[in-house]
Amino acid sequence: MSKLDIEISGLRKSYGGVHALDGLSMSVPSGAIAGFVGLNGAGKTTTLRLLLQMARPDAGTASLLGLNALHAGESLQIRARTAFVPEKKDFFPYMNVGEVIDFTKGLYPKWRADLETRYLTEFGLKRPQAVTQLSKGALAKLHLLMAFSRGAELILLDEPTDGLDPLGVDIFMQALVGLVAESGATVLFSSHRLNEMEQVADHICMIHQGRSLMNGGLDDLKASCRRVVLLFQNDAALVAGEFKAFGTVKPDGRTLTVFANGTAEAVVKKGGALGAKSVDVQPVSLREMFLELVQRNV
Amino acid sequence: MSLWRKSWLECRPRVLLTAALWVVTSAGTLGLFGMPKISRDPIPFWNVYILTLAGVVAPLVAMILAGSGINSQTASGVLRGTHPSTHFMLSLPVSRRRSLWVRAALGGLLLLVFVLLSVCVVGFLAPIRGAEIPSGRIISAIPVVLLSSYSFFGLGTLLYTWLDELWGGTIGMAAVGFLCGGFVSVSEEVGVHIPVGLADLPWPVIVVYVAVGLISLGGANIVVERKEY
Repeated sequence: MSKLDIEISGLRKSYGGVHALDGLSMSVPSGAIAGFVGLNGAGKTTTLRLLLQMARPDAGTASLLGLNALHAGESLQIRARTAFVPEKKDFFPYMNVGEVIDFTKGLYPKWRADLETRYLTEFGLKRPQAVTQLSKGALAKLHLLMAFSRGAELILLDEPTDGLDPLGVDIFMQALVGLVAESGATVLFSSHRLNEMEQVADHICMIHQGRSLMNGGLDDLKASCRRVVLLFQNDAALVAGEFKAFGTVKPDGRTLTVFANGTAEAVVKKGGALGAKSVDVQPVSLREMFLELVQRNV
Repeated sequence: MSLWRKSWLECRPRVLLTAALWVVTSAGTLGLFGMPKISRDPIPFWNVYILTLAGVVAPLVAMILAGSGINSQTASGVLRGTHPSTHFMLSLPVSRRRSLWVRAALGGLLLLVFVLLSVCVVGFLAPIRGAEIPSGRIISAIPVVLLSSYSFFGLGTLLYTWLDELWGGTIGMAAVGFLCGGFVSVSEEVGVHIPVGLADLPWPVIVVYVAVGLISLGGANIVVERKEY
């Protein structure tokens, strides 16, 4: 079993009786680019805040880079080896870009000056620019510059592409993949842009209502999830009930579509037994997988 | 760039505000020392100045310098809640305690400069306006003003850590008004003068203020360690 850089078990957090996290368990192996997926309010931001000790959990355990993330002393060690891009991307309003960089740089001995220079150019940022004059997109770019330049072993990104234009998203994706390939850093990033996430992520942590829906390698998850389209002689609705045990069923005329999560073979077999004229097993995208699983759990 | 420099950048506008207060207070007082009635017998007016400084102006400056910090991260202005950059700050390898104490230490140093300038500049420049203040009175006034203002600085640090800029500032300023009245009245009971002898200082008030300052700073430390963001 590969080393786990993020390991969360039974994490609970409530705010005024509302369960933000309800026993969340998930893990991310070392060197992975993990997509952190969930609807708004699913608990993604809360999880990241708990991992960095901005808030305390009601119960559960969490470790980052093999250290206890819920212990104050160990959290400082973790933060010295971790980069974080928060959901609300803002900086100290009394600094300019250069001052923000210099302040952050002073806290990270492994700071990569080459990457700093490169991303200042690529993102079109100027050191004398006041932080208060930066657009939402420019603030996001400055956050990414600092996350990538500090030589971190673990990178936690909360909606990192929020506010970025398509070119900025493209640069971010390329930089992320390049950085991980070069440094071997582990990345956990939340985003609603699932099509883009699918291009770079090799691991998925899907959460819903504070609980884990799915956690594992993207290829494995996609291999187990299939859309099976069956064509029957008569109205498919007549046999739809036979497939409900295997996943979500959608009859449409003589066609029956079954979203099978690890049950594709059983669906094909059942289809054959019920006289399906044709059976087509199709791959599903991360987005489809997510929507299917969330809708099933609403 | 160190945490000290960040703290300095953070409170620069507050320093400008306190500098303006210092200019107005000092220049106004020196101006009044030039009035014939005051310059003939300047000690009662000096005592009133020191009591005003210790009881109102320095606590006000203390409250101003104690503002912003870990919650608001703002340089100036009123802000509700937590500034978004707080999450970035908390993600860095800097303990909350260190953030608080560096900011408090810098504010404390700036307050010391304000008090020294306010007492010494007015005291030692008074002869230019024809008023002679014995140097013993000037020196002995320094600890009184310092202790009073530091107790409010501690209280301000606690309020701004516990609450946001709006409520921390509002309650802090109200505390200055409420408690400073007490300082002046108790001082009046022990004699409206700032004597040279330590035994004549308003010790009960000073002890209370030192206790308030220390307890407040300790409280701020607990609050910042336990607070959730």
